[in-house]
Amino acid sequence: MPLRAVSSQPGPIAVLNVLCSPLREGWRVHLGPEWVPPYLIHCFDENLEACTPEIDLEDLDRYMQYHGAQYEKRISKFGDAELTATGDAAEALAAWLSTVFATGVRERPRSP
Amino acid sequence: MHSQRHSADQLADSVSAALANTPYRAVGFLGRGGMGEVYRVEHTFLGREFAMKVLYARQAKNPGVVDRMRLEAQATARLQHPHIVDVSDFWIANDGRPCIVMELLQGATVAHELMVNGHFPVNVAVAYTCQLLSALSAAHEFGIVHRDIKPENLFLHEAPGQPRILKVLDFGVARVLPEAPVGAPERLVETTATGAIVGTPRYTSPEGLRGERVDGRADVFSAGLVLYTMLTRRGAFDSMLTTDSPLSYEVKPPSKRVDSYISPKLDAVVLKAIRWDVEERYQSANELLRDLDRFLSSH
Repeated sequence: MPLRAVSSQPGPIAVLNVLCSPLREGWRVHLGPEWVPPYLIHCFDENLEACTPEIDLEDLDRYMQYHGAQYEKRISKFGDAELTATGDAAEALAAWLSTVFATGVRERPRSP
Repeated sequence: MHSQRHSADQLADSVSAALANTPYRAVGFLGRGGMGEVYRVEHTFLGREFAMKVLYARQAKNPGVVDRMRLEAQATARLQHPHIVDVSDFWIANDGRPCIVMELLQGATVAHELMVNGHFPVNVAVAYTCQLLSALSAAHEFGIVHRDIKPENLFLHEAPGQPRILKVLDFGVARVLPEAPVGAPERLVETTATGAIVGTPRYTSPEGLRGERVDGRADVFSAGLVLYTMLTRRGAFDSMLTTDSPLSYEVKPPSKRVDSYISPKLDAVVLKAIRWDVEERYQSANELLRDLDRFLSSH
């Protein structure tokens, strides 16, 4: 029976790194270059930066908790929030970011 | 809808101006969105409760946003479809904020159901999508493209003693097409210039993401993505890598994402609905509806 070559290399795993910096009115969001889902890329400029009037980190906590997605959040003394997630959690974080950049009325997740 | 606790004083403060000289009084707070707040109100003469959406005070001086709410009210009211939330009243309050009165729905959004219960059983997901497509088909015939179809804007309404039905919410970023028939809401001056993304990126059609003017096929794409998400609890393009070419990207069929059985026929229908190339996609909500109806009647 011929041996089949099996790759031991796992497929590429998405890593999403997001830096949210408070401005006087709103937030500047900067994405790391590791992975950006194509549906989000058009929201950002060539430096992977964009501004949004509101970032609700409690909303993010709830959203990720609902999705069973673990992520890392580091808050600097200047109020910057660095968010990092991997794999499925990176996809969930991207999906949440998509709601941040939605136009029109968006629903906030409610308490269960 | 789930109400959140607000003191009578808070309610009075935030909506008293909007309700002055109207037959409505606020009885509860339902939620907040990017543009406004939604309250439970009672028509004091009729003794019946409704939901009322009122623009944030800070947006009241923005004529573009006020006009958008006017269009939302007109589009929703004139469509009068069993799967579109019913709008019964509209006014601009003395403080400049537009107010839209809608039927009060009971239940939860598709997004909420997905979060709490995971993916939907196959036939249930398809049946709700048929209801969505029936609503979209009516809107498109009237020259209206919704542009923000996503699980958060689809409400599963439970009237007492009735089966749950889907209702489309929020025509707040709808577009009236130039070829809209007589009776359609007046078109807005296109405040969303070419190049701007309208809607929610994760559910927006590729042509919408590119900032192009869209037609009903953009809603077909979003409806297909919603169906994919209801079947799998995941977005079809969530795992796409930055380096992947969207046109050649092979979307995993729903059957490869979940353990429950999904027929190859349904896989094919879903994948055709979310084709990146608009010409390869279903060309109308009706066309997709026919295929899904056929699927339902054979199962």
